[in-house]
Amino acid sequence: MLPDDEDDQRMPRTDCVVVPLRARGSTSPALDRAAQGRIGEQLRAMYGALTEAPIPERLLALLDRLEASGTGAGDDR
Amino acid sequence: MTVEPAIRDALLAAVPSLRAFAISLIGDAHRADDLVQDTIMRAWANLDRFERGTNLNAWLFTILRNLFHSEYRKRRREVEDPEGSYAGRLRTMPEQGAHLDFEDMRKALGKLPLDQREALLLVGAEGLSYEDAAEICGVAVGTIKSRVNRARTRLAQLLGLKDVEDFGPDRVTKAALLND
Repeated sequence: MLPDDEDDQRMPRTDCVVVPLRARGSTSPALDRAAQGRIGEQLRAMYGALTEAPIPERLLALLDRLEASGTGAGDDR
Repeated sequence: MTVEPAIRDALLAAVPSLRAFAISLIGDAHRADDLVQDTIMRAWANLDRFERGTNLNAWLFTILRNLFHSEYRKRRREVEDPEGSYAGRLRTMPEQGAHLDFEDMRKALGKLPLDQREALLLVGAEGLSYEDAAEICGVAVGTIKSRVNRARTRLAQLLGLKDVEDFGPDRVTKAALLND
């Protein structure tokens, strides 16, 4: 307790220099933009990987079936 | 009416995007494929309502989204599905080995409110315009913009901040470059 108190007394009175500002980090617009950019990249990479996955057989079969039926709106059931 | 072959090919070409959107939205590949399948059948039955020359993908996304909201969400609630299980369900994704890198992103996506998640996926991942996304979701363009912004902010909180805290030389460099 004592050493802490001593420290407190020695602390310069610059209460307005808020330390958490640095700790929070998110207050820097540049870093925010950098983070946002990387998040966007990650999102597109994840999505892109999904679009590259092979189309399941059942969906291909469905399209073949629909095409074979040769009809679309109205006639379909 | 007779369906022109081009439409069939266009539907086929749209499937990868529809799947990516559905999987990212729902977090379950199997249910996502059910949804895509229903979307294709619904689209096929309503092809006469599709305005030739307009954006087929946007039309298909609209159908998929409407189906999801009208049926799949109800079904999901019936099975009791707290939001936390989204990440768990993602383990049933195809080729999971190749996608492990995206685990954090998927978890974070699962924590977004649904309206924000779909807006972000349409604009930020699928690359649709705000206007198309607004039409698909049946809301104003400004609403989509604000949903996308909130989604991005939330994702940054979920994913980005820890990176920001331990920014190394690379991050500082990037930040400096972006500053210019």
